[in-house]
Amino acid sequence: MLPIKSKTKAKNIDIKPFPIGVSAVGYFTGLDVEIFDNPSIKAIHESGCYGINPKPRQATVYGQEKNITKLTEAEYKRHLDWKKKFGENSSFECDSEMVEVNNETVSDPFNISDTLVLFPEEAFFLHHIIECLKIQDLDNQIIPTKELWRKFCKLKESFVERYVTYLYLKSKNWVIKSGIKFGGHFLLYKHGPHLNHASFIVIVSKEGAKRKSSIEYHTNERVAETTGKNLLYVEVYFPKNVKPEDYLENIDKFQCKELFIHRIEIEKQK
Amino acid sequence: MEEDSEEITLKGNYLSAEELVEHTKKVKEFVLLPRGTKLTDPSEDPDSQRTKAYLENLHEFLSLERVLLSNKTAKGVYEFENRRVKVVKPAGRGCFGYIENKEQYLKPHEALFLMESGKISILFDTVMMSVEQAYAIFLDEANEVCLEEYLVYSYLLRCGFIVTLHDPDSDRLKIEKSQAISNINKEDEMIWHVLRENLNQPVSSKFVTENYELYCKTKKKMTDICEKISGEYEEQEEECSTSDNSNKDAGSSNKRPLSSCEDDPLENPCKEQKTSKEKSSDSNFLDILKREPEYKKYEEIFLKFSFIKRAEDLKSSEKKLKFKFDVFIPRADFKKTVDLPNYRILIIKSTDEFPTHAELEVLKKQQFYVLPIFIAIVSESMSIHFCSFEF
Repeated sequence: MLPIKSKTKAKNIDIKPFPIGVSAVGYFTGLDVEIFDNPSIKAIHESGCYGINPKPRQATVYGQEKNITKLTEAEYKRHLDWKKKFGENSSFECDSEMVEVNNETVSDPFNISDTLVLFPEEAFFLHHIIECLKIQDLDNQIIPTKELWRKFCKLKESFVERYVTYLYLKSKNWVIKSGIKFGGHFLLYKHGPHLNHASFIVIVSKEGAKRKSSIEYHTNERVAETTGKNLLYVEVYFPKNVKPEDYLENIDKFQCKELFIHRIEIEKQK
Repeated sequence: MEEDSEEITLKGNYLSAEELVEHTKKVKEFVLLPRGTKLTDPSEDPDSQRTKAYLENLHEFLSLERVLLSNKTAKGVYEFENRRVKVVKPAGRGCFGYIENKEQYLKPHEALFLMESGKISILFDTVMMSVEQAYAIFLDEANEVCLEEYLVYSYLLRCGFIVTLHDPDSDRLKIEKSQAISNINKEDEMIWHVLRENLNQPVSSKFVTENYELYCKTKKKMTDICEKISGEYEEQEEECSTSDNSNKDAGSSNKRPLSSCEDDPLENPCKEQKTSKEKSSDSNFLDILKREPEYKKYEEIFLKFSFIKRAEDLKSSEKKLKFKFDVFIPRADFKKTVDLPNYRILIIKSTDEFPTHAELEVLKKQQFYVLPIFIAIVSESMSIHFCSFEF
C-alpha cells in the first residue's frame, strides 16, 4: 500500500470532519445542490471539505488568513460595467469586499456571490445523517427527505450504491470528493484536497451488474499507478426481499466489500 | 602425420571441428549494442539511425547458427496415448517431470519449454519433432495446458521461478505429512498458527475452522499479553517525559510483568505480534484513519452512521475459478524448496470478464494454505500482465 502523500504539514490544525451546529439551506437545481449563503458555505466547506467552490480565489486553507483578492485592471473594469448593467439590487451581488487593483486596495464594485456545489451523495449525507442542511427547490419549497431520495435516484441510476459506498467510506473518516478527474467515482483524501493528495481512486459497482472486462480493470489500475494512488473497487450488496422504494428505510441492511487491485512486476517478486 | 589421418564424413547437419571453433569464437565475440535510455520524441533521432543500428545488430545476432553438442541434449519419445514424453536419455538436472516406475517422464508443456530452449530433442513415431509441430501437438485441447497458459508458464520460468501445475491436494498431503512427522500438540500448533497469520505467512484456514475455540482463546491470550507489555512501555515513556518526581515510581513501573511472561512461552512472540499488529492493520488500509484524533473526538457521530457492514463469506454461484500454477522462488542452489509454494497463479484472458469479488473470495478460501495470489492477464497479442489483489 502506498503511504498517504501530504502537500503541507498538517500538524496543529484542528480538523473538523462535520459541520456541527450549522443550519444551512441548499437549493436543488436539478443537477446538484447549491448553497449561496456565505457563512454556511464557509462552515460546510471548512468542516470536512464538502462541496466544490467554483470561485477558487475565495477558497480558504485552514490555519491561513485569507489574502486580499487581486484583480487585474480589465477585471476591475468589467465589474464596473456589470454594476452599471445590473444595478444595485442584483441577486448575483453580495456584500462588497476589498480587492487589490494595481497595488491599491479598493472596494469591489460588483462582488459576485459565492456558491458551493454539493454532489448528490454528500448533499444527502449532510441532509439525512448530519442534519445540517435543508434542501429547497427553486421555488423555495423545502423538499422532504423521502422526496429528495426519490429525486436523486431518478437523477442518477447508480445513486443508491454510490450513497451506500459514500456512507461506508465516510464512516471510516475519509474525505470523499468526486473521482471524475481520475476516471473513478470517488477520490479519497486523508484530510482534504488542500492538505493531501488523494490516496484512493474508488470505483463503485453493484452486485450482479454487468461485469467489466479485464482491460477496463487494467486501464484503471494503470491510471492509478501513474498518478500515485491506489485503486479500490467497492461492490455493494443490496438487501434481499426489500423493494426499491424502501431502500432508504433499510439502508443499514446494505453491505459493501472492497477490493484493492495493484500491478505486480513479477520479475521483482523473488 | 598427414598420411595417418583419416577423414571422417559425418551424417546430418554437423559442423566440422574447425567450423565449430570458428562458430564458438564468433558467438563469444559478438557484442550486443547497449540499449540506453528510451527515446520519447521522434525529433531526437530524425533519420532513425539509432533504431536501424539496433535492429541490424539484433538481426545479426539472431541469424547466428544455433549449434548444440548432441551429447549434451536430452532425448525423449512422445507417448501420444498417455500425453507425456518419456525421457530416454537424460541430461543434467532440473525441476521438470516426474518419475514413474523408475522412468522419467515430462509433461507436454515442460517438454515444449525444454525443446524451445534446446535442451531436449523429441521423437514422435521415430521422427524428430520440430518446435512448430510441438506447439501444435503439445498445446492442443486434450492437454492440461493451453497456449495462453503455456506463455505464462514459460515467462515465469524465464524469470527464474520454479513452476509446477497446481494440485489442490498437494498442500493437504504436505500438512498431513508434516503433522505425522512432528506430532506437535494442537495448542503449540495454534500458537505458531497465530504468529504466522500475524506475519502474513501462509496458514491453514481449515485448521482454524476445526479448532475455532482454541484459536479465539490463543489469540486473546496473546493480545492480552501484548497489551500488557505495550501498556507498560507507554507508562514508562509517559512517566519519563512528565516530571522528575516520576523517578520514584519508575522503579515499580519498570518492572515488567514477569509473573505472566517469564513462565509463558509467548513472551517473545508478543513482541513480534506488536509489530505484526501494525502490519495487519495496514492490510486493511481503509481503517487507518480511525486512529486519527478527530475520529476519536467525533466518534459518537461516526458511529451513528457506521451501519454499513463489510460483506463477509461471499458465495459465488457462477463458475469456480481454478489456480493453474504454483510458483516457487528457487533457493541459492536452484533446487525447488520443499515448503509450500510462494505464489499461486490464476490465468485469465484479456477478452474475458474480470472475476467478481465473490469469485475471488471463493478462490482465496478454497486454498488449504492461504498464499498470495497473482492474476496473469494474457492479451490477444500474447503479452502478459500480472496483478495482485487484497480484500
